[in-house]
Amino acid sequence: MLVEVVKIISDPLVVALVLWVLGDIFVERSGVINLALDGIITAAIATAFVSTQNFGYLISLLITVTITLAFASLFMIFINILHAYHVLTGLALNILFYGLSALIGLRFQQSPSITTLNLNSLTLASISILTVALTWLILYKTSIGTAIRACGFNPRAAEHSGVKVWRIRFLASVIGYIAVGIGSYIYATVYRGGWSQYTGRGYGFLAITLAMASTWHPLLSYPITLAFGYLYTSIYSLQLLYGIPPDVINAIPYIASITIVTIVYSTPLHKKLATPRALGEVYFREERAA
Amino acid sequence: MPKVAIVKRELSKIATALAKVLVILLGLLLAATLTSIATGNTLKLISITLFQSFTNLNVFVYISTLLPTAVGLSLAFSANAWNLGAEGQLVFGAIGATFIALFTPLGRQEIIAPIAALIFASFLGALWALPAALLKMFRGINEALTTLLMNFIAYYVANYLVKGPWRGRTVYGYPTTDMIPIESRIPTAPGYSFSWYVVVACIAIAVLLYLFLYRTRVGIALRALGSSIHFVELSGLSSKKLFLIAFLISGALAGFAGGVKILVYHKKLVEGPIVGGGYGFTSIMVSWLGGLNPLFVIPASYYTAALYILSFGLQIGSAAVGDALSSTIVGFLLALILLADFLTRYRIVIRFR
Repeated sequence: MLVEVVKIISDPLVVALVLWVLGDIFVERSGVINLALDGIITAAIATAFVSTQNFGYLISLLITVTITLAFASLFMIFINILHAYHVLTGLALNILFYGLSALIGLRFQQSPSITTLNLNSLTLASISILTVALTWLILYKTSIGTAIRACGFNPRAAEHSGVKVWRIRFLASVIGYIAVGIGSYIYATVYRGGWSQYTGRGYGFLAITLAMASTWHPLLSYPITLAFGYLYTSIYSLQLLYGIPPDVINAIPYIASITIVTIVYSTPLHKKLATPRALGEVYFREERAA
Repeated sequence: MPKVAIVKRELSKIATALAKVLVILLGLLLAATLTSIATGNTLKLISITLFQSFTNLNVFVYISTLLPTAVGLSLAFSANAWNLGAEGQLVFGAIGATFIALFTPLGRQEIIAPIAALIFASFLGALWALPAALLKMFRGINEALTTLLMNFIAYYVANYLVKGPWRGRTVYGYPTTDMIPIESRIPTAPGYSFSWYVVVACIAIAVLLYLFLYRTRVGIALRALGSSIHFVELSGLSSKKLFLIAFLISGALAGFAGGVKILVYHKKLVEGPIVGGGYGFTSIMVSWLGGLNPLFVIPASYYTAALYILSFGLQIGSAAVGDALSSTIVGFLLALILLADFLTRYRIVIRFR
């Protein structure tokens, strides 16, 4: 049992997933529906792969995080300055980023694989646990975190109490997408070690789902992501042992996520967990023409 | 220090439409230039490909999926119902149509079969939209996220069916069902894989929904739901009921599109992501491009369908690069539309002190 748990905690795919989920939690806690996550992850994985091939592991990490932040800033410009609908921006940019990821990969790759980076279990496990702890500390114990959560709960009230909503949403996305960039780097270099067109597509939506299933709470997200990681990594043994079709297992996080959120909203739990109510609200600060 | 502010403004409908058309043309020009630089082809060749994709009759293949879905979604978005689940509702429509055609005696009756299949497809599409609508109405759960997740569940349901209980006996282990009986297929135009009946029906649906949305009391209240709930409630209509109506119609139309896809195009049920093909997501952008007006959604779906054809045209040189390039261009054009949307709804004021 303990061996199983350790194996899951230090599985590079699960570690990457944890980082993506936490990054998503940051962004969605500030009230932005983060649908562009899927495209950005795909593009970040392609970037991590080609830059590792061309410049080595360390510089690649820097490049990946920088590029991820650049993509995230584009997303935030649309949402905060152009007042575009979050959902539409996310979907449109996803298509753009899928295309870009393939262009980056096809243009700069030298061979279809790299030697994977060898990190021991302890390092991998501590990366994810530290990020969970850090996310919780920032979101719940600092004034920035309080401001982020306020923007997600009621941006108008937050603005009245002196929080600059646009600035805070931008800041939240910067913090969140640093985690997303590192997660994508781990996926590309530690877990996958290879790239083909659109590698990583779909994980973004999975991360959004898992974040929702944990009601956007970093401490809850960890066990939930691990549980899914267990199901996902043992998908074939479950099929062989109990005859559960893989498609049923794949559907579990989505069903579970809707069920959990329904339960939380139907019981007094939602007062305790304070989910971001204003998720997806386009915030327009009424301004007179100067 | 100059002071910069963003202020709302209202442009006339004609100015808004003009701005969008201008952005589309500009975007195409830019896309053609970029493509010619990236692929090394001459601008003339690219322009010919572009022209051919807009005059190719195959656009109707895509229009018969995109138009009904996008029209339904424009209804939902007008009522401020963020239904992102068109993809899943489409897949469920496909499942429904296959069920009627393959597993009921109705499937072997001429004329009755396609009609019954399409009705059941619409019903299943609406049914798949129902949980998200109810959760929003009674629990206040964000419908954008729930509908998004329902898409993936629908994918896996379809995958499970074609790999498990519904797998065909004559398909040599491929994950598909058997072909549906000939009586239940809708006759296609000779040499093409679309049906004129369906195209006419889709345009009729768009016109009907336009009349509903702009000429009836319920429709106008539905549109008002997007701006002011109190106003609607004061006029004596239940905002919850209106929300539900908008949601179910959009689900039903997506289901209809899924049914059409089975009866005309695939002629059997295939894996979820292949049936859906991302059309449910593209339709969201199509309905937005059409300004949420069912009549304008017709040209918007034509434009998007032509882009699909264009993306195949670009794959001639290298399929991988062509696909990546077309995806980039489509994403870029969609982002430009969002920019146009901003420019028509807001203006930037700069004052120097």
